[in-house]
Amino acid sequence: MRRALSSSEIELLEKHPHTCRLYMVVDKPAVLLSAQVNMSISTGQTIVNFANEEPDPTTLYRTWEKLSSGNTVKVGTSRGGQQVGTVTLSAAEPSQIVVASNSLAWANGRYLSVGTSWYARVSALGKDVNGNFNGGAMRIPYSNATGDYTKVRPGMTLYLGSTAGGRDLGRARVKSITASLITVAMNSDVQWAHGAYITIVESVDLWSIYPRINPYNGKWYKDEALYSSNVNQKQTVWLPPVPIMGPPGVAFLNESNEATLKFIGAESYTLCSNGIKTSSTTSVGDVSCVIGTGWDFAGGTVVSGSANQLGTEASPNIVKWTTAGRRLVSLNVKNNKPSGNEKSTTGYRPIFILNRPGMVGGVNEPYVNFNIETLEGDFDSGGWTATVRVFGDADINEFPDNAMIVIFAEEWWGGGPYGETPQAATLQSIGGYPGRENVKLVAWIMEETTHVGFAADGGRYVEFRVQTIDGLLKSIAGYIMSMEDRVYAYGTDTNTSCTEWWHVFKLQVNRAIQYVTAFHTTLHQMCDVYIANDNSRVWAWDFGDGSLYRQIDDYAASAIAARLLSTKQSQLYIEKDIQTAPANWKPNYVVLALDKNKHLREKLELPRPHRSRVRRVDLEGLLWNGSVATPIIARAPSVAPNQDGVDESLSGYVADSRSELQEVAGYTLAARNNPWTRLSFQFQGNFSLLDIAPQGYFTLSLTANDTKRGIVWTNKKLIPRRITMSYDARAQTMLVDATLDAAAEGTSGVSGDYAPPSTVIYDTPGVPVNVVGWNNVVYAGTVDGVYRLVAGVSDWYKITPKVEPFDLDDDLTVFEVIIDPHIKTLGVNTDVLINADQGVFRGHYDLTTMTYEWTKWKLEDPPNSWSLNPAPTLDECIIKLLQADYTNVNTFYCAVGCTRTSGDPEIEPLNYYWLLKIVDNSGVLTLTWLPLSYNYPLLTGRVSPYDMKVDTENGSRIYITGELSEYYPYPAGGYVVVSGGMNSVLRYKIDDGGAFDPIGLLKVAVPWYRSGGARNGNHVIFYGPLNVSGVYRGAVYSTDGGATLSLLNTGVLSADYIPRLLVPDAITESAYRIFFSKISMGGYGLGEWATFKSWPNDWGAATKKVLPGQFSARCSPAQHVKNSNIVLASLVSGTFTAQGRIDYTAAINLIINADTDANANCLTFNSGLPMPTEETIRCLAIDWGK
Amino acid sequence: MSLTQYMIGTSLGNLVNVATHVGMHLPRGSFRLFPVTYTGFDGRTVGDGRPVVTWRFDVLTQSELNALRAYLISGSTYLISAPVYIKTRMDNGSFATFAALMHWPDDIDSKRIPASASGVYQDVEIVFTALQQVIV
Repeated sequence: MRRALSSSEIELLEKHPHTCRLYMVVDKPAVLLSAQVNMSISTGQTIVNFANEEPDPTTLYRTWEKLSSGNTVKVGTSRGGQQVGTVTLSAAEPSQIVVASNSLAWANGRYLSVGTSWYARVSALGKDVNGNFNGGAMRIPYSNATGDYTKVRPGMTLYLGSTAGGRDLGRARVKSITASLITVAMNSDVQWAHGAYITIVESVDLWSIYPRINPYNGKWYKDEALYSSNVNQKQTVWLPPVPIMGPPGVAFLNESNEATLKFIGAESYTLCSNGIKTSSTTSVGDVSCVIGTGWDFAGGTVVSGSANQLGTEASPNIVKWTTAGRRLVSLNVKNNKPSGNEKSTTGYRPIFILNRPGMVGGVNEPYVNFNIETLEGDFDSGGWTATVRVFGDADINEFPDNAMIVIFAEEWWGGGPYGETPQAATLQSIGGYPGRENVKLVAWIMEETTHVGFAADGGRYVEFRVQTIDGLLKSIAGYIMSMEDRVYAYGTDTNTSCTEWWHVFKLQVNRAIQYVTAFHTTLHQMCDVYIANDNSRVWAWDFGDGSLYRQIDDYAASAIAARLLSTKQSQLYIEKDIQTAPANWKPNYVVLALDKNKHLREKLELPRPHRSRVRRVDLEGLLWNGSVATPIIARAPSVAPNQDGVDESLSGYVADSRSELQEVAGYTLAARNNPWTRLSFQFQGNFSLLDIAPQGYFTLSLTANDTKRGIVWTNKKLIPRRITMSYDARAQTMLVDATLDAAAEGTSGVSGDYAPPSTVIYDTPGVPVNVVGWNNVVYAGTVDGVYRLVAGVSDWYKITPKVEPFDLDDDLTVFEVIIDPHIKTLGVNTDVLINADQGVFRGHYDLTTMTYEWTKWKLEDPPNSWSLNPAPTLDECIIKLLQADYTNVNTFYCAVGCTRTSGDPEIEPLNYYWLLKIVDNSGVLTLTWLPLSYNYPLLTGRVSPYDMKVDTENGSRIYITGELSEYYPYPAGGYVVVSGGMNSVLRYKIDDGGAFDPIGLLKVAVPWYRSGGARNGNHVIFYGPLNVSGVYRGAVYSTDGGATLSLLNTGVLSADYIPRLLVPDAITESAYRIFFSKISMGGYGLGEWATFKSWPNDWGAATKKVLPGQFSARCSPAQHVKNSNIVLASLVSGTFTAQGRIDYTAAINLIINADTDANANCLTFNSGLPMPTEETIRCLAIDWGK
Repeated sequence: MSLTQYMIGTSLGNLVNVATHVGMHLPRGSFRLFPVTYTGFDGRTVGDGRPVVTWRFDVLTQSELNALRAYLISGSTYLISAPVYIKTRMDNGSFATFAALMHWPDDIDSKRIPASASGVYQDVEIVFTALQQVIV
């Protein structure tokens, strides 16, 4: 009860005798449409089913998602052919394409293709060319229909059967319908077939809504909807409203053949955050929920109120029906802003107008021939369960599988037989949603047991176990989802604005929950959901794997110590536990002050533990104001703990203030040590008003003489936690027992100890380290093989044993480790390539055996491009700069260099380098060599490469920096560009003292995007010690493949800063992180880093943050960037000496820094790495999932 | 004058004296005002629920039994219970009319005297529950 009982209700409770008669209704929704699937293969069809789709050869991804409207679809009699013709694509879906009008002769097995991206074959609906089941169709043409398709609403259930009315082929959720076409939600298991029987019933069920990501562009779809770019339509800014319309209604026709029901929708609400700015200057005012298209009373006559008003408890809509039957009533509510784009939601509830048993007979009479064996609600389990024994007809038509049942009551109070003038009893129900007080249970059949007694007097009946809506939520899995807070509704900056499904404007506790209920379920259409209106801000949240119930309940428990609770009427409450909630969240009323003489029966059992359970509670939380996250800790009872019990630590709480957290800590301690819990009560009369939600207080007073222990309670607050109802059908009584907890009486805690550590070190992490932006996997190449670390799961362990193909005796010195970005199993990068002293190897990680299988690349000797004598051999060459092509599978590049002495001791060894392209097709290598000569095809102007990158548009441009190696001394800082891939020349260098004047070796970076839009392979950045026109700048960029260069920074970069590594952001692909070393701090000093976006912003002026000491930029770091976090790995070194070598005087560790605050959250992993010696560890690779 | 005031019917309008069905084999009725009782905190006994009545027939012939069972027929099917109207004796000695649910005894076959060729039953108890008094 969300209010105190009225005096008249209390008076009723105390009247005897009470009687109660229960009835049961089984929801058997009407059939709105019966039809047959009309999907034969015919000439000119525009919806074409396909099967036998060829997956991406490397990733095994589905490929239809590569398609887009306007593509030309070739239809042929052979793979890739177009003998039948071509047609323009309109849309592509998992097993169907929609094409423009055509006159093609479609036939089963025809070959379909789009360019070289997609290959599939025409199929009969539901079957591939081999006759195997191929589900997933979403557009279902139909014919032979009976019924009225215009009555079908989104969310209703479609059954597919092999016979009329059958359900054996599956079910799907209807999304829309026309006179000839049904569109359903994504599905896989529905066995669509031409001619199969469609039955659409007038019911909106609970579904888990499937979110899909397009692996090719990274875009999420929720229920196949893309995220809107229109600020007024953005789904995660303007959350849809929540209709509240009560549970299903039930009423008997009276002697005048009239039945009335009340309808109240005034508690409908919206969780739109108020004051949303739709541009930098325009703000929308407060948003509220108002009536939309209103109520649809399904043929009922409005006696009082209006279909266009929500209806309040004081002034409800009263609707009358004059014939028996099931109806589906709906309520549409909407947000009142933004104008023209108001989001709306429609809720549906069945109502049952019934004939009294024995009057007319037939389907519109409730069941009376049943008994309730158990009926129990439990706060801990979150809902109600019942066992219903049915003695009469209980076949599949009477009790369909998964059917909803409604048990309702007629309850009388007082009255009775007193001679010729019996006193009339009062017929009334108490408790539950206003206007639905007679509904005692709304539940769904979860399982059944059929009893067949063999003896002559053996019983024959069926028992159904039914469960409230929480049972459905527990039986349906949710989908993993993440969300992050965003400050702005408008704009395109992915760090601050809502541009993706997982960006939530003002992510608050309540909005996070509604994100799940609104976008991942159909809850708001089929039951009431009350979400605790806690608008504390949340920085981010991940909803992990599990049932829909677990996702919401776990989140609620962690974030605000709340529970997901179902009332017996199957209304959902996400409600803070009032035992631990802050004071302003506790009810300020008492439902009923229990009178021990009038309200209790038989006995009272008051167990009390003698020792406290918990001596101290530490509660960790986070304050997030939209830009700054502040960790806070509260402790109770105070600094020192109590004497008895154990310590308890809780984390993840989302608080609005320190004082709130302290309150919660104090109340949590009190609740844990509450001496009066699980108190057993038995109530006089009909206390079926009790429920586990919404939580409310009862009170009881005891005097010293009432118990042997002299317990004195004065209005002791009590909370029902477990309720058992016993119905006696013969006596027509409902007796209620309950377990109640006394309200915990505690005081606020204090602020806990917290000192931000500079480095949090976990030698052996005990739990997974969930750092946003990487896969927890790091590889280290050492002088003794490759080591792998799975943070939080395993320490470093060696993955290159001394077995074939490696040398059985010699150590393996590894110079480079890279991750093949194209080879994945179940989304996991499985392949690494290593460049080692024994050659180049590919390692494939077998997820089943959790071991690596290694193969050695069989590289050939390089061509004798320079006519060397003797001809160069691979054995005398070095291989470096090994890297993968991100846009072409199986493609890799490296530089191969041959060093020859000139014979002149005054001249350094001569270097001859080739750019080597390797295509690794399942171990069969195709090698292409390009001599690295500036004057190519002349072979003069040899280049010794220093850095190299492959463009991210299509891999046709390879950018190389380096120095010219045929002159002495080598002109430092010269660089060249290979344009046009392997078919063009090195065509540019700047080492001639021009405007661009490198004073040292430069590096090169290729962005994903320059600033949004499509990738452009001509975009490139060169950085390092670089003067431009005599001014130190540090970096230049080009948008034409290096032909012309521009300043990356408008200001003058301090000459202290040498950019050491520039990393394009993998998520915000217009952003970069750049890492510097400060040479002014005595050679190579501390590293710093900065973020800049979308040139020509002044990157030099970007705020720089000092990295922890471990991240000396001299330390061969490997760094990667993903969204707003950096993942930075570096070897911990000792001091850098004047002699210019790294002296590993300390233990060699690996540091992962996973926070934009570079001074925090450094995690050290060292267990398992080889003992430190100089240059023990040569390289690192972080698996960042790209 | 009627032999008894016990009456039965499917509606208030067709209440008939039980003697029309069972002749001289009239029932003895017991009346339980509150089928559920319990003790309150202060020691009072509290009763709830609808009254329960039991008609006990010392002897019934097969035809008499069938006449009573006719109140449980729905179409061509015998029910185990059905709504009826009865007039019965209350625990204050007066008679009153009630709507009730009539329950056919589960053990009726065990009440049959084996030696009776045409069927004679002893100690037959017919229970009526959910009594609601009506003013005739």
